[in-house]
Amino acid sequence: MILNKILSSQKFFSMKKRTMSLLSVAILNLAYAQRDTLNQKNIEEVVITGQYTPQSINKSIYKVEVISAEQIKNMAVTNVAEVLNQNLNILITPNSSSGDSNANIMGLSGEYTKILIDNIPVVNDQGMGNIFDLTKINVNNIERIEIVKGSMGVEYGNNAMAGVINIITKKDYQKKININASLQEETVGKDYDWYKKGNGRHIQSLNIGYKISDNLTITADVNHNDFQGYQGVQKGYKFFDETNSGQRGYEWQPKDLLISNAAIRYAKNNTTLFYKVNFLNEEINYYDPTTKILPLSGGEKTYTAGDKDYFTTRWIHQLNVTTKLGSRINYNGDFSYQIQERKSQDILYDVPNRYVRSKEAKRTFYKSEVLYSRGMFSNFLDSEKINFQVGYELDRTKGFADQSTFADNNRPDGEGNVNRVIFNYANFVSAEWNPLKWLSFRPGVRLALSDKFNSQYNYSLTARFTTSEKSNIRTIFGSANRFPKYDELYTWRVDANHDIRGNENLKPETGYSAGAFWDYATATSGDWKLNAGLSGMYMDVKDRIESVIISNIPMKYTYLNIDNYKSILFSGSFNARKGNFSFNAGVSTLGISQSLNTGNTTSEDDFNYYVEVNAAANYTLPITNTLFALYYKYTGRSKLYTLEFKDASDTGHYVLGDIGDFSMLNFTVSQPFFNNHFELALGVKNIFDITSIRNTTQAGDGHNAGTDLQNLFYGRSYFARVNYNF
Amino acid sequence: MAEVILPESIIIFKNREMKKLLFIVLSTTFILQSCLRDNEDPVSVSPIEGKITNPNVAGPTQPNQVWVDLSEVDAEGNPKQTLNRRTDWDLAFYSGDQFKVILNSSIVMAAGKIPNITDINQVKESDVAVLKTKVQVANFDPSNVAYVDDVKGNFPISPTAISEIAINDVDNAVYLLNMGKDIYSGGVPVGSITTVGDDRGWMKIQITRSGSTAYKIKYANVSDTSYKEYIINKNTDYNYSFFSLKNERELLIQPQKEKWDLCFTVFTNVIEGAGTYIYGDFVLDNIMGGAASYQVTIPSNVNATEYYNNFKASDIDMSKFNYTDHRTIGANWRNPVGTNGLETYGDRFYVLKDPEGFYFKIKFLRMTNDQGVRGYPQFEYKPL
Repeated sequence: MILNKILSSQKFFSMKKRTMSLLSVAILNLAYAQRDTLNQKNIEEVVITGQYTPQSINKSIYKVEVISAEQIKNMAVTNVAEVLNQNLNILITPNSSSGDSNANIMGLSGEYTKILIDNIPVVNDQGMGNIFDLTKINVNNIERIEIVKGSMGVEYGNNAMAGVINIITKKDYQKKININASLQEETVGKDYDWYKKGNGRHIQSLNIGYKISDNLTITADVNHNDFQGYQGVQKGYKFFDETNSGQRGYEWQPKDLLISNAAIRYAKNNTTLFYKVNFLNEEINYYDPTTKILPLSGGEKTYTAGDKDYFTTRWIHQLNVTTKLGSRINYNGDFSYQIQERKSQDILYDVPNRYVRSKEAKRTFYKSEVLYSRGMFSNFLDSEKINFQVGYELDRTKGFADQSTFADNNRPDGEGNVNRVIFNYANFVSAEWNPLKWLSFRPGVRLALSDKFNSQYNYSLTARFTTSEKSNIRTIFGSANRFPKYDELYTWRVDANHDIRGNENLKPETGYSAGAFWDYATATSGDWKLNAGLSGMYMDVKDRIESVIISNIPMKYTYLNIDNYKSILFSGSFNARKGNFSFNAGVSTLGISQSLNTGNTTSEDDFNYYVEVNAAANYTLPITNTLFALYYKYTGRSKLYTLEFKDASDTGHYVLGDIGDFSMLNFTVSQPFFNNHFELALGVKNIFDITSIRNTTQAGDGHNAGTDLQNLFYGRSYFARVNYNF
Repeated sequence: MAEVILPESIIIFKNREMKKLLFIVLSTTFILQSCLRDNEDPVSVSPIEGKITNPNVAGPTQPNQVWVDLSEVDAEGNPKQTLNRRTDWDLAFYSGDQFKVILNSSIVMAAGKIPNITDINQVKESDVAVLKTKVQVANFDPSNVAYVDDVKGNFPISPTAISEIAINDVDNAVYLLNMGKDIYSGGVPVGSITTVGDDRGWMKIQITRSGSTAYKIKYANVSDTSYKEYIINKNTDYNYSFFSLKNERELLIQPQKEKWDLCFTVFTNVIEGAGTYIYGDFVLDNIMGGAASYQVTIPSNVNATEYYNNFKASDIDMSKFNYTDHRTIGANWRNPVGTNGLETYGDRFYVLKDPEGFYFKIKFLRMTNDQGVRGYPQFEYKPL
């Protein structure tokens, strides 16, 4: 309309041509920019987790939560853990000594959630799929993250107990050439140094996509994330003191991460295939908090610190084929080879004299090599009413873990290492039956065989009722197993004062979840699009593995399948969008009941509830196209039973500890320039300056009591990001 | 719809200009991000003014007991060290007025009275079957304290597992003796210690007085029906006379009673409520010979090395010396289970009065060698 107005003006005809071309392109770009930001919202989101074929989120048989690339960009997150922390019932925190991160999802720790990249499990220290460090993923080439909470043993196999997080990477762009480069500088708490390399977080990334033809696209990206560490209450690597007070070093260890990806995608008629290769290189510098005196000649002395550098190298190769076999049968196949090796290097650093006295050779402490394949065949019957899917999944994992990775392993050097090959094979079948247009059922069963464990059966049954064209009710039941970790199987500490042994005969833990989800979507006359949802889920995990006293005199510990875990989750969500404004909010209350057993005593198994709330608001100022984004999450006070030792004669008793509440608030302002080719974003993360919270549920051991504080974040930080888009 | 005036910021550069700008921005960023390191000047450290000593404990299986005499030094100024393997002796017979017999706690021995039997030949395996499960060390049974000697080590008066030898032979019980554990001979992960190896077995013993200056010990394997005997004389030059049951002979272990100050050894200590517990890298004072020590804690806001270096004879507090517990230094100088791993405390040192009346200040430097292997303790000391 504006274009017409300008064009119709006779007076400025000479300037008009130039102005017109300028303005028209400007307006088109403006419109395009708007469309970009609203892109995801106009088209119905497509999800693949748990589906036979990519399915719109409304028709999906599971309740899938989607985190879009837009949210990732607006939150200016530097790793996946940061964006997942905005989600309810997910908390990912750093491990200050190893530099890795630990996940807590639905009240269960990282080994209960399966992490997938492009729908296949990712290699980790002990095999594949779970206990995955979520900071080891490039956040700039994520297309979307799909989260399904609940047990998905049938579709995704072992360790998919609390849920599945599926990270889908970008493999296709709309434009012929796509170049996106970004630089992000972030303070770490109050620490930041632009010219002295010593503080802050510095991220550079480059994404390239080239559409060779309509059918063939290649993409490549590189991401470099350099984190200079956070001292917190520690005093940095140059610090030493005569009393050896343990104050040297960092609360968060410095970390340098380089991730690179390349993919080629081919799509024609009914066939799509992509080959993707992913490379990761990470270096973590661990600084010893204590120092040792080293006497030198002539009465001189110095202080040395036993620092360690950790190196991780990972390769992921994936080939995915989606095609039609014959005229009907849909085939979706994945073939993958993944290898991850972690090495450590001991460094003897002379602190006062500021030089490295000696460096040992690099030593591998974890190595996992995985060959994986999955194939799913569906649509055997050309019928709307009934269909079924058959699939297989197999993986061969060769794992190595050095005995230094165990908390307790004192076999003579070398004898306590884990060296094993596991072969898993599973078949799964599910059927989709739509007896009525508004009703569909999907039962499924999976038989998993392994050369290490007895065969496992998993079941699922989901039903979807389309109660109206605006709302659905889904009921979901699924079961899953959790395979024991190396610690639980191979721990060995037998000496003068201890007898703590792993148990190679442990069975996998088994569990199931049952939930009901209701969602409602509508559009009002004022152009508002509204979405609301309510859900309830019950989860029960049996045969949980725990370290148990099996003899009091002499005292002996081993691991047994003995504990129990139940949780009840109620949650609600609300989403509203209109034009340039979108708002969403969610609330959940999670109650956990655990029956823990030391062998001498068991805990109370009452339910303890806590509340979480999250909210996000995005507004784009139409005139300047400035985007304001605000993200908030409140985690309420929770209580958990934990093991406490009153004195040396106490073999442990359970007390109800509590974890303090905290709120996280992030705010970002971003402004596109030069026709959306440039974008500058500025913002504040963790506005409420949360560093550590009170946590009295951290168990001690026989020698030391657990600390009362848990380090969560490094306080308020500021960032600036420049983005260039070709 | 209102007319929208497009702000000046939305002006299109030509592609080339944009690329130039981008290049400048990116290269500036990368250049400035390159390594400009922070201040790396060395910092000076207060020197060690005392003599550095490395007791020859000999590594993570801790095979040696080391008796150190700080006042007798060799040509290079190193204090005299007397060594023995922990398994060289089993019983120690007190040389003073009382008739006390001590077990070798460094090899984790224990002893329990066999009830209702006075004739050593009558003891059978079935008599001690239940007793064997009780006469153990470090099994987390709080009552196992009764089967070891008092950990304070003040043996003229402290209780011992084997009760004081009575004048009348018939008043002395037969004891089931847990011979303890051998020295471990396998490999040990770096940073750990393995203080115990294979079981050394069981014996039965009965000790009586032999005149007023000697002991007589009858000993045999548990199911034997005959026994062997040995007479051990008191030797007042030494704290104890040492006897090895395995080798069936007497031998010298400790130096003469005024000729040693500290002993580095494996030790059977007690944790209140949990019973006995085995410590490596344990330091004992020669309280039987008249030595004593006390700990000085360095205040937190001073330079620890200088505080220790400046500590003089006039700073000694005579009232603090502990003459009745040989564990004053004990395991208090190090922590192997700290949250940050192995730790030698830097905030304390010890003042020692030796049996000849000389005073020393002692500060522990390390519990490992420079490869991080335990069993190589190191301390500095200076006469006051």
